[in-house]
Amino acid sequence: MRWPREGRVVRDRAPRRAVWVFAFLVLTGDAAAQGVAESSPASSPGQTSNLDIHAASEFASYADTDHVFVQTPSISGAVSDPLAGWSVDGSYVVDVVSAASVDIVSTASRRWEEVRQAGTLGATYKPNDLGASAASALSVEPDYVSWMVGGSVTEDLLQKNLTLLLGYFHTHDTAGRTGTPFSVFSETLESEAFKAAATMVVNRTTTLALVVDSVFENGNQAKPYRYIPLFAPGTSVPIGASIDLVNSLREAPRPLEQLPSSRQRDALSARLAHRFHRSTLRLDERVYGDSWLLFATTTDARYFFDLGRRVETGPHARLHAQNGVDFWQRAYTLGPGFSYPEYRTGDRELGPLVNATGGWNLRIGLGPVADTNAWVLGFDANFTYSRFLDDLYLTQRTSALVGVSLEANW
Amino acid sequence: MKRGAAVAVLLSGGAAFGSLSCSVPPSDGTYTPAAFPDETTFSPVAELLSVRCGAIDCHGNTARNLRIYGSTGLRWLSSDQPFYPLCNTSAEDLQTYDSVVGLEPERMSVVVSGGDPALLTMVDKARGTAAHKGGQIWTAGDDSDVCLISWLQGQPNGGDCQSAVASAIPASPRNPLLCCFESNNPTSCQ
Repeated sequence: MRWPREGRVVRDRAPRRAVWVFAFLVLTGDAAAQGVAESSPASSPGQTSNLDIHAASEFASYADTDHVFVQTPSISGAVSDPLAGWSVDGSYVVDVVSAASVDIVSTASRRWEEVRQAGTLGATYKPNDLGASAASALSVEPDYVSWMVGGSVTEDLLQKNLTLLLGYFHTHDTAGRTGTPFSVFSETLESEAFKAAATMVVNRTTTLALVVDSVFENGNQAKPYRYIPLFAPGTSVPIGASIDLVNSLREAPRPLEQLPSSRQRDALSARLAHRFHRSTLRLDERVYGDSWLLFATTTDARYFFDLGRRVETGPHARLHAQNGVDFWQRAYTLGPGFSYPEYRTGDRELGPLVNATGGWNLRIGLGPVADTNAWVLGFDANFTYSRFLDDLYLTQRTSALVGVSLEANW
Repeated sequence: MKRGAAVAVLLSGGAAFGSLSCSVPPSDGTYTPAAFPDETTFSPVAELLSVRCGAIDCHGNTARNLRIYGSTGLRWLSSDQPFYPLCNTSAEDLQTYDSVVGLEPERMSVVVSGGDPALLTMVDKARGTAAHKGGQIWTAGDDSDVCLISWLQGQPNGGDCQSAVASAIPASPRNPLLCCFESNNPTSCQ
């Protein structure tokens, strides 16, 4: 598993990435979208302890038309003392993946199943305007181990109307092959991520956040299972060519995927959140570019409206478009003198694509009248249609991601 | 406010750092030549691979990343059939060669330049040290392994290849395929 980042997939990463993002949004309570002018939902009237405790459990399911299925149970919790300014949080998630995608079938392999476990641990201390956070994460699956450590500092300015953040995160990934000891085969990837953010309170009901992310990656990012069909120069290979057609047209050599050993990625994100009388609108725009010349834009909108005191519901829409990396080719060819393309990939997430997501969210406060958010039952459903514009095997994919969660706040 | 100013400077510096990183030249995606083992001495290795790995439910299948052509499995010419012609053709050996060297061309170049043959997934899978759907095929140091490794290292050992093939084919009753691997003129085999 690799942490969710743009245009990066190790083994059918897209669904897992979607689950991660989804789970993150749910488990963190999607606080920004719940109302920028609201106080902490964990603060109960008449509460005698300074401690706020939050616990959540979620079960998410992913399925797509490329025969990938993921079940993701997870739990998370946080304890904080808002007066003292500290908090600790943690989470644990399991991904149970079953896949028979076209990428697997095209190499005459069978369906595989795999379990991934991941956990996070974090702490924050912010006794006054200046604060610091530490974060860590570990993800383990049979052929991939990833850990991350990092931290950030924040400072409130202008009477808390402006908050600045600087963060740094280091990630170490080790990729292997299932059933093969890491001592026999493994590749590593080091990642240094820098984050700078500014969050502004525009007025009593509106906030604006700007975030700059820069990530520097060094190491092997190629998937150790992905072999790239090569064709003779001049061979016509149509978009979406079937497995049988590719196998009949390709040359005998089918080399392992090969990617540049370094990559620099930058993203600029903006989030605008506005609380109306009985609803909340959140708009996100993210533009992305990297040294492989992949550029992307992602627009996300969520609208939540209150149905009484206990129910909050609303739609979600997302649009994403990207070009392919500069070495992207639908059909790589052998070069002069039996030479090979220096870089070659079959990773759809590195090719040109567009996708659109539509979904709906429902949150029901089950707590007592005085504190309806003491217990919150949530439902989410998102459907995504992806169009792959210059690929072999697959030209489109439809996926569904649904989840149910239960949160408790004391 | 001084702390705030410092954070603001760092923040703007971080943003500038991010924008600078975009100016790094991208990869050019050109072709890269690779150093490969000798093609002219590959035939005995191709014969070994065809009898050990080239069955139609193994690597004698066009869907496999590593395709192995030969008499007992995948034929190169659509007009050819299993065991007809009886022996591997030179075109089949060439296709198998292309497939073998083209599987991991960058690593193959390292091995040809004196690197450890175990860098190659193919070697690890055959030895059983790496996961392989077909299981362990041979053992490091046995005739089959020496046949492949010696060729990779530029010191082909036809004797080991021949004995490895012989041990893979039932000797009694005498298998006509043995003629292909023992004869200097396989086209005479029937």
